[in-house]
Amino acid sequence: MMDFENQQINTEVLPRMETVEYEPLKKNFLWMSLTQNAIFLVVLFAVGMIFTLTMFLSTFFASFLKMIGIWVVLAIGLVLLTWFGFRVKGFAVRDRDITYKTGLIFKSVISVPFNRVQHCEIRKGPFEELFDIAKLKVYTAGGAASDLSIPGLDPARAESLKEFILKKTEEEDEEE
Amino acid sequence: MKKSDTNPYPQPVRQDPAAIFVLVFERFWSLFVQFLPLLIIFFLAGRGQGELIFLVFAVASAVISAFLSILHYFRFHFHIKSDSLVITRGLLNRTHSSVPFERIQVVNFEASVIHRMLNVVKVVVETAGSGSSESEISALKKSDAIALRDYLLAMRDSAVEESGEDTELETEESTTGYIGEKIFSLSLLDLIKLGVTNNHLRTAWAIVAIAFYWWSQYWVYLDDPGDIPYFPILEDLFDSLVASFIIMAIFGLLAASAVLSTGIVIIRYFGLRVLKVRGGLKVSAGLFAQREYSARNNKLQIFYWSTNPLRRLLGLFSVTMAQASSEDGLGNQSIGIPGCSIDQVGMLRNQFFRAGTLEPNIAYKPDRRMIGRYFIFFGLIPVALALLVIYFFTSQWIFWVFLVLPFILLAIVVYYRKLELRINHEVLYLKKGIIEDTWKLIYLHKVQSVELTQTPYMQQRDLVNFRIYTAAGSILLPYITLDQAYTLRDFILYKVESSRRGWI
Repeated sequence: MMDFENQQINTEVLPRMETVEYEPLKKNFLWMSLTQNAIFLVVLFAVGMIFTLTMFLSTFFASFLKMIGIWVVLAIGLVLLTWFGFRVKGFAVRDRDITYKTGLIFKSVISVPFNRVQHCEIRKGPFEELFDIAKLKVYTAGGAASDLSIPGLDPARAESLKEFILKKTEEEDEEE
Repeated sequence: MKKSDTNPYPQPVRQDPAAIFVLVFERFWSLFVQFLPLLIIFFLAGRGQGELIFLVFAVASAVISAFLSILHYFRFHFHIKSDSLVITRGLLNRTHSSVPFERIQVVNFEASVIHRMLNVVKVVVETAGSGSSESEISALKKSDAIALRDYLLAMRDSAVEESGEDTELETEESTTGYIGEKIFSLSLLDLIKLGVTNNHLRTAWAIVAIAFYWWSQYWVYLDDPGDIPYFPILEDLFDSLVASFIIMAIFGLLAASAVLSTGIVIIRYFGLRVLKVRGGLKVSAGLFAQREYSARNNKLQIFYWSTNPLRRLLGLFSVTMAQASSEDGLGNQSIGIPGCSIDQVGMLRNQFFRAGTLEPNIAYKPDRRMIGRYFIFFGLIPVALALLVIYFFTSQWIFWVFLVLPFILLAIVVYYRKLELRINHEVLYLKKGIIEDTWKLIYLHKVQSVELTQTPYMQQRDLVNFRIYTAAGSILLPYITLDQAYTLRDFILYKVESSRRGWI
């Protein structure tokens, strides 16, 4: 406790988080999400088709129209959510922390200081491989809910971000 | 000091022969507990043939497990190498585990009834890191165990000094004095007080749930309750009897839960002692199996104390020390002290928080609009759903369920008025509760991350749910204004990022 100090801090002069500029995700992430939506909708359509065929054979045409109606509403909703949801997603890197915001209807902004990062990793699923993007996961000791994961990064950008975070984490460790 | 310089176990050796009895006994006990419900059913119902098969089965498994335990004893070896503790065990699959000295965190002793009868202890070596984080030696003579522990800890300290990078031990100054200064202990009277003032609603609920579970598991074996003879003349009498029976049953349940919780409290916390040791506290307690827990300064994440109205009358508080279990923060272990006075809470708190840090000065409270929103989510919607469900089963609209709404509103208003976060340069201090009050203390530099969430309603009105994560759980401050949330986030991040102290 030799270097202990306890000066008053004027909260007005603290670095302000709300003024940071968020970087958007790579556009390919939107295309990937839309492709996933499309696959989901096709599967749903097929399942619904089989269902109406087997259950409502007598009134096939009427129930077919109803099903198509429900399906179209669902499809439009899903696509709109994905489209506008993509525009609110973004991340910001400051000198000492990283922030990710997401959520069109339910907003969430999570910030992780670099000196609390346990490790970070880059994930690439088959879809990510296809659309040439990568997901960066930053782990803390606070459990799964407090971890931060940024989907839809350019692979090179993800790699450099990971390097940057690891370098920062090491620097912080040395200071301690 | 001199004694702990020489390696007490240079060659692979077996455990103390008493370990045979301990192992056999532990196997028998776990078998007994597993078969207890069946045992009761069979001896109550008394089915000739089933009983015989069951008896044969029980004896056979007992003999086999005893035999296996004995084999396990002969196949268990341990010794200390120049850099690690090595344990070799297993009947067919030999497991060879070695614990490097520098990874050892704590060496604990545990003693069950059988251990105490044979005058031995079980040694548990806790380590940092992922995977299986414990090594156990089932039985050693107390003096041998102490020699082992002192040697291991001495070697650990010198190994750590050599590598010189472990932040784990920076708070520990000396290598002597494992038997710490006693801070306080609980007497049998204290425990009875605690048992009686327990949260009986919870225990009563647990009794009902367990009874229902048993009934649903074993009802096929029980005899049919039979036809209750029906006398129309007694119908009126029955109605009044049923009413008084319900009241009696409620009182009986409460009495039973009082007895049960007192029993549980005594079994778990008999002879509880809190010792101050270097780098933290050590808590030991237990009637049948005495256990030792250690709370370490660096591992502690959240310190909280709470009380309920009954206990407040007696001036009793319970304390929980939530710790991160290892450096990767996977899982956490909490240490609870069921009862102490407010002065003792202060004494415990001072072990971890310097007295000067405890004057939180800036307060945050939720916005009033929280009451209305919570009333919708926890009052109106559940009640409406309940109404629909009841209608679905009975086809009657039972509107008196609305009578619970005033109580829910009252609970929310109380919750709103008590909820408060205070903050200063070093700690966060959260107070909350409805009937049971809880106070939580967190060092700012132990925060892992912060999250702001908003529902659509909150977005329109610039309100935010503010969540703070630590390695042993998170705390939530709902419905603060956006400006407050931004200031709070900037401040917490600044404190974490400018702190030179690690979170563990």
